[in-house]
Amino acid sequence: MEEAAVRPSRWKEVWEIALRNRLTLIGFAIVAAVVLVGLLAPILAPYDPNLMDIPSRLQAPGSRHLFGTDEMGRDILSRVMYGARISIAVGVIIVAVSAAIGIVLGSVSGYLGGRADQTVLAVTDMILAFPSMVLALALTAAMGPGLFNTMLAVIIVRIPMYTRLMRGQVLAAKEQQYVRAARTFGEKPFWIVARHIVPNCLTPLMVQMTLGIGDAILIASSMSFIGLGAQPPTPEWGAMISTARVYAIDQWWYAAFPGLSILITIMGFNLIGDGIRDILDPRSRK
Amino acid sequence: MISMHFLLKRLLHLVLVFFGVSVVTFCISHVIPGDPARMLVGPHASPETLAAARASLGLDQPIWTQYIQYMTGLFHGDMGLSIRTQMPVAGELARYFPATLELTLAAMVIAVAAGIVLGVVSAVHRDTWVDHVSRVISLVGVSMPLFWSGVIALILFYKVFPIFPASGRLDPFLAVPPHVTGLYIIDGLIAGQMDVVLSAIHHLILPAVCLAYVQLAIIARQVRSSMIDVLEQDYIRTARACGIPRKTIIYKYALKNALIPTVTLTGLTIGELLGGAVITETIFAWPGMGKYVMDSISFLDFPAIMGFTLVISFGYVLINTAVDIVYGILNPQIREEGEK
Amino acid sequence: MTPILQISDLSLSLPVKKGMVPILHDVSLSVAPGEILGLVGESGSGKSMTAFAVTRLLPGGGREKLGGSIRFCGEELTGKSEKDMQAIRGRDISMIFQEPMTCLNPVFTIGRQMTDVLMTHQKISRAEAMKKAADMLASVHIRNAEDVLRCYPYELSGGMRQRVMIGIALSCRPKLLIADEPTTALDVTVQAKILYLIREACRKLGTAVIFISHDLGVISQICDTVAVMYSGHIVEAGKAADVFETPEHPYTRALMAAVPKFTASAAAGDRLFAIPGIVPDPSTPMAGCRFAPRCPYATELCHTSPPTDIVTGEGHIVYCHNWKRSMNRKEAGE
Repeated sequence: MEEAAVRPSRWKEVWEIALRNRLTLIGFAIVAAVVLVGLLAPILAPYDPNLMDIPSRLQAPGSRHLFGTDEMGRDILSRVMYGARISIAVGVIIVAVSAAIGIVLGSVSGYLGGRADQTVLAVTDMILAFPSMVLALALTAAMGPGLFNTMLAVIIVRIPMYTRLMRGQVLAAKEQQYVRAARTFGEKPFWIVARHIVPNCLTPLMVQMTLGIGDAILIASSMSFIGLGAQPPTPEWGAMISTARVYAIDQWWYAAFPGLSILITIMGFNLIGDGIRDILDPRSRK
Repeated sequence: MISMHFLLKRLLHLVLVFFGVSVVTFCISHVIPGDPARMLVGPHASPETLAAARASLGLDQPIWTQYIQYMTGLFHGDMGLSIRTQMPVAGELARYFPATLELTLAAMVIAVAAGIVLGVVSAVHRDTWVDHVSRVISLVGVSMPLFWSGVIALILFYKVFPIFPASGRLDPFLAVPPHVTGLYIIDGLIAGQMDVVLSAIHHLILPAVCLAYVQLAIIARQVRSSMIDVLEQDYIRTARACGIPRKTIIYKYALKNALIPTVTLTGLTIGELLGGAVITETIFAWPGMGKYVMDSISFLDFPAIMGFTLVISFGYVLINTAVDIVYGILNPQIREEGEK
Repeated sequence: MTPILQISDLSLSLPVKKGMVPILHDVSLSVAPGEILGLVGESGSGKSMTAFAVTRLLPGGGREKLGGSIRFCGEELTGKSEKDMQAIRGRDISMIFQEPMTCLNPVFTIGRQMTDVLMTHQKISRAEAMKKAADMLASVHIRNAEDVLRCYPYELSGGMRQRVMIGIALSCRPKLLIADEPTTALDVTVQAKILYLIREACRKLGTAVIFISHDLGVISQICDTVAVMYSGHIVEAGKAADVFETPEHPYTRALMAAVPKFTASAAAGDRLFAIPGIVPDPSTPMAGCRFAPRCPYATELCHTSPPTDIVTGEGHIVYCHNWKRSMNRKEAGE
């Protein structure tokens, strides 16, 4: 009962502080703008992102092409807009899937303990022993290049983080009175975890997930840059810069705009994540 | 200072992690691909080569026999043949290793040194313009894609302001110094060839700074927040009440405490730098393992990719063990617990 | 005896997000060498802030506003620079704090921390400082001082750490020791030993002490003089015996009534007395006496004009318009 009374006010408080914190607000604005541009790309984009126009290739930004054109004469602005779709979708899907799996594994591992816990810990340890980028690279190479496999690889690499976080939260929550009470009443473990523990562990996960979206976008676009992720001519930002590398020295706009888009998008998520963390962590609230 | 018991425990842990890493790499090369033999010899291999690969992998054998074979190979330094160059992967990686080491070490030094300075300055001058500037630098840093900052750095410092060279480790007309460590700066110093040293530094700065920037930002943020935390601790007030000079308080009393969480972060930093080397080396045509693996990727040269993964991961594990030991030295309480 | 520290009409404001908040109003105090002054009050009454104002260890990054005067050994402290204050702290004025568990730096040995202080204020080598530190620890009754010097703080108990803190504070033989709730966090049995130690050390060195506590029992055990603070003001001051025997301010009496008495006369029916209402925030502007809203004797005057200091006996001062009436009323009531 008490929980129910506390939580809405807590979220209200979070929201109010977020509104007062200008940086967090900017973060929300950036992410909202990027999402909007991605969703409305078919309406907003002045050209078909894959429409080639060889005669007007590699044109500098001007009135016809605000962000200039690439080596095939495609409109970079339109491609950047469509790229927002891909990047946001990639980031959200990676985080959603890896966090979901991590929450389940972490809950099971933390709640059951014993053999299950040790197995989960051993596997997460193995994965965490690799630099994340290198492991993602090897996994994608083994599965074959492509955006889907890249996402799969990044998901695998990111699961341990959420598993660990959730496990720690569950271990702490297990000792709380209300969980003990539920156990004495003979509630089934699944329901105890789902109804009592998970909701109370969500706040630190929220922070991690918000920061995680930015991180996922970054690592996925890096894979595209390397050539293992999205393949040209997909208007993915990392893949665009990969092609642009050859032209970048003389045609600065080709690499500049997709890169700026990545930078701004990730910064948006980081600002939100930092803001939420500051609000939720009383120590950093000072 | 530090007990044998503590060291032995870390070493045992190291062996376990090596085992874990080898299991994962084995899975990636033998279990995930639909046809591991095909992956190892490439799509254009002759049927004979493919059959030979099948036999050597022992695909009909139980999985643990395959693992033992795999490990035996690794122990003998056998990482297979590169599909692209038809040379042993191990030898090629050994050739490219020093360049990567030089780049990541330089980036490491820059990231840690500048990150700590930025973080401390930011914390000490909290909420002043100094703090705001350094926080913006950090925020941009943690959001910056490595592959983009490299390209932008080239445009700025090679094209617009031609200060730095765009590629390589040395001026083309300079001879490579006699091989001792493979790090040109150090080899140049040993040989007493100052022109080589200067040229090596000149070539190193841009890629190293680019590679370091993201990690620098992460370290600066961590140092800032833990420094702010520490400066509010009671023992800092005690030190002030005892009349200890402000500089001593900040740079000795507070910093040592604030660096403890940063040490752990440094281990992660190295992992990110090693992963980032693939991108930075490619952009700056730096002849290291990263560029080698990038070239291999375009050929889907799987043995080369896996060799790179193994070397980098083993190195990463080693470094993290070293970091753990440093952590123990810095933090008396952990050291003690290790002894119990 | 001439006081070693003389605070007159001290006022203090601290910076907050918007503007300044007044914390202390017209605080006047004095301590003589070898004397122990108890500073009593509820939390938020400004007793710690008074101490921090003396050593200038105030929160707010140097943007605080000090008024009035703090004379220490005949020198005015309010105008001194941070650098001058740094030289005074630890050498002439030392402090000990409430939390011995967190007041020592966890990553340095006790020896390192003690010698750092000694070497800051005296031109001696590390080895000499080590020897002095060991002597100091021995004088605060730490056996095997040499071993303790090699320890890290986490290896010591709370009582031991507080002894070490006292050792550090006294190591340069300061003229004034400010003890901010030094026994509050300790077990009762350890408390008595630490109190004894502070008193003994100060008698021996002739150090004056400002002993800050909310605990009247502790104050009455150790102090020569007492000042009672309420919401940034001194409300009553005088010799400890006088104040405790004939408390003249209604607030002092209320405080004393709130202390549980473990005597035979405390019958089962006796209720513990609690002061109704809460302490007003020092920043709340008030025209009259700040205790008036909670005071059973408050009159119209109390709400409109602040009380001035009234000398009622030798060194006994009370800030109350109605102190006489309230005392009579109390006697009549009993």
